[in-house]
Amino acid sequence: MRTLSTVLLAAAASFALTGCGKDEGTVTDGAASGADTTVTVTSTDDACTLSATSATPGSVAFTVTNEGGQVTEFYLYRGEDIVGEVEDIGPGLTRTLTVDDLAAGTYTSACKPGMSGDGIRADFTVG
Amino acid sequence: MFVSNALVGLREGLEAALVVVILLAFLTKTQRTWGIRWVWAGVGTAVALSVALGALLTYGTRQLSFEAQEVVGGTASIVAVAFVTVMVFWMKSAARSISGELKGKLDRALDLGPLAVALVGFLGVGREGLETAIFFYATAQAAGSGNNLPLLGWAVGIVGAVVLGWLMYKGALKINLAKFFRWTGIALVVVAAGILAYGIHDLQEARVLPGLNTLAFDVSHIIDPGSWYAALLKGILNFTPQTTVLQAVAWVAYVGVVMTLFLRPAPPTVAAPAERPDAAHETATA
Repeated sequence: MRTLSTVLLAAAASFALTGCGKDEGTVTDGAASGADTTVTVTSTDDACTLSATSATPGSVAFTVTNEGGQVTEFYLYRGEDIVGEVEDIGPGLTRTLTVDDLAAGTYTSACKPGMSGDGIRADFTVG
Repeated sequence: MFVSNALVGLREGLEAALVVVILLAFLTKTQRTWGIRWVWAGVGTAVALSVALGALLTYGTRQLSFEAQEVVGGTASIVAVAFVTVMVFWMKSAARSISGELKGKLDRALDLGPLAVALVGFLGVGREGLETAIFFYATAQAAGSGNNLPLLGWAVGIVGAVVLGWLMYKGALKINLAKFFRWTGIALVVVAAGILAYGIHDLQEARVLPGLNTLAFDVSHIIDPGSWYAALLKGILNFTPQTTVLQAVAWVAYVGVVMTLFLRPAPPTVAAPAERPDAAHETATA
């Protein structure tokens, strides 16, 4: 029993250590506290509306609300790379993607209602 | 709003439940009942940890980076595959020892202790747990702002997964002992290959592994990822309509190697040494 709890504690600790990272692209839910810029995203089954299409360099919180009938996802790409994503945003839910230290440049935002295809994309400028 | 969130709950619940169901069926079927409470200890720890970490990430100031979340999920999945693979061969050796017992021999060459059993339960649930917990808190927040449907949907989905898991458990117990190991072993190999592919995809998203955009196939125009059958395919087999080349290669290689080794006829049994004390007691007091 003692050995078991030790190992499970160690596993828990490693989970926690990996978890509390400092790097970019943070998935949080609820209030987007502390980000330099907050962008509100409304995803429906055929539209992806962002409250702003640009931000200053720094941390940006995308608060994504799904007002459609399908499960949606929100991505921020730079070229082909995923800078951050939040998946499984069920209808009626709000989930937040916080990206820390977003550098100046051109990015692509995308909502993926129905979880397939390239998504509804738009340019997102940081600078 | 209800159905879509229910399908998310069903999918994640099944992903977490399958390995545990097969492990419990195996322990019950081979009268290794000592192991059952250890499985639940592992499962309970995974659930408690996920619920606590999920709350911390939702309501606290600490945040989990997107890449860290994918790395945790991906690594836990691949470690789970390693343990499940050991379990597959444990089943094979158990099948031999059962036939050995019929001939009056006892072979316990390969037997997992309580710790390993608990770890399989822990990893089987834990790899999916954090994601599920964070989703749960999102539905709870929607309920807090007056919309109960997502939370209700999610809860019904989880209950559905538990019921399906229980039915699979009952079904597996009905299989006669001679066929039991063969079929649960085959099922476990396929499930483990799916978990491996899932882990690889997580690591590709975190850019730990390359090739996220190099797809082997994309059948998302045929299998709608939002449908109930896609939820079942993903929940049980971890099948994704869009599969990368690396995922496909890993899946085929894993099934090819492990299934072949599992189905290969066992060499003639060597006379086992005299009966040893129950391995369970040995390890438990170690």
